[in-house]
Amino acid sequence: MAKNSPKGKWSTRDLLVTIVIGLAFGVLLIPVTWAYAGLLSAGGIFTRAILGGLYFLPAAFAAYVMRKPGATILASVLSALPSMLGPYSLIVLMIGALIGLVGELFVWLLTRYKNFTTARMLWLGMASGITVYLLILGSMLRTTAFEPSILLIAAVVSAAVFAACSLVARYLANSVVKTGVLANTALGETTADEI
Amino acid sequence: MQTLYQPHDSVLHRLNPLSKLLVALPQMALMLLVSEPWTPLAFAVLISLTLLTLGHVSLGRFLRLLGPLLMIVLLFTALYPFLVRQSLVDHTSLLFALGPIKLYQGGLYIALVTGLRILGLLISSLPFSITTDSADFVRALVQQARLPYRIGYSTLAAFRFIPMLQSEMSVVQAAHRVRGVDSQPGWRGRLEQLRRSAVPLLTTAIRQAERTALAMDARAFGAHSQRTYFRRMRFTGRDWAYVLVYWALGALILLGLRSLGLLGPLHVLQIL
Repeated sequence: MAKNSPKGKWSTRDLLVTIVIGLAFGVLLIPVTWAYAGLLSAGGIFTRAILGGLYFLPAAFAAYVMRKPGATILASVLSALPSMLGPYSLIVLMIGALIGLVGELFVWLLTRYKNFTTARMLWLGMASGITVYLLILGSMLRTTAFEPSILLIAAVVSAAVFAACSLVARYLANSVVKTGVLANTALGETTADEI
Repeated sequence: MQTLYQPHDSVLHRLNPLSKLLVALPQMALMLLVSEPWTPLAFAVLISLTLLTLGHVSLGRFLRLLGPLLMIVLLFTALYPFLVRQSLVDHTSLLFALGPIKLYQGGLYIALVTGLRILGLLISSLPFSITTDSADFVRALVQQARLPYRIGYSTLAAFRFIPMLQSEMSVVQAAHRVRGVDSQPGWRGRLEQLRRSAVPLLTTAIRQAERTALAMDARAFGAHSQRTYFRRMRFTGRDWAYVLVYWALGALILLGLRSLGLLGPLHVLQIL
């Protein structure tokens, strides 16, 4: 069986697997994206904080499975593509790129692409959630006009949802690795070593 | 896969996708910066005219696309006045009060500006998404924007999986229904429901990706740093003309609004 390529080096298989992880989550997220703007306007920044976290799923999943620099941002941008072909187009792509960039930064800072314990995944989600919240809400929704208590609650909600999604991504990856299809990835090799 | 793109022979369809991106991105950045309703409104009119004339989009289709976006603006305007900090708007006239819920004119204005900025952001994407074939976009990224072709063509190969993934998703859901799988209440039930849908979908997708990667490697994909292209994308004088004329029109709009005193301050990032 082919070995996983060295860290930092991307084989065609690594590329394709990361891309389809992004696209598969993108397909799962299509209904969320279609409902997004309607729910956003009806539920305000709280809905954004809750739904925004779901877009972190592909980034966290790819980071946990591939453990390579660039996997987080690639999967996050690619997860935006199925929805990008709908009415929100470039905005979805920009948000996907932003979540991917922030996620990539914190994956590097917190895990160094090696240490993906439950606690680190939790911190990864919380740090990404707060940063994305500040950047999106600060630029798009002009949070300066809101009551400070509303801002604080929304920040906590955003961090909690991103953290939960980070853990869900880890749980899903651990479920998928049992099927054997991830045997050639970094996660698959780690699991095999543990066995 | 259902997309907004419809093949047509219009000026916008013939343009390089990157020229449409060069027009849309600065416009979207501007929508993030403005603090008054006139700029998003003026650009919405410019984008609409561009789509109707250069994009050959029928008025009926355009209105069908615009309808949901306008609904978003209306919902924003209806909800946001109640979230706005009271100290910011309590010097303006009170329009409505019901117990602690108060609607100030200033709150309504802030909500309207936010709604129109979101509309401006959304509508800025339309000329790109309606007139751009996604495969051409990736080709242009590889050929003009120097995206490594291994990423670009792997993406194009994986693009073919999207309809397969969508039908796989329907099959998985139908299989669950046939077997009478019920979702349990609470977060554990929802998590289990997600796992039941996501694991088969991801497994199929990853298996397919590995097979495709093997086939691509067998054909020496990525063996050379340079490659030839069957379909060439070009960034011609027509593309530059479109970008420059559009930017000039945008600058004229901003100058016009400024001379009328309607252009407010530009804010880079407002968090606290």
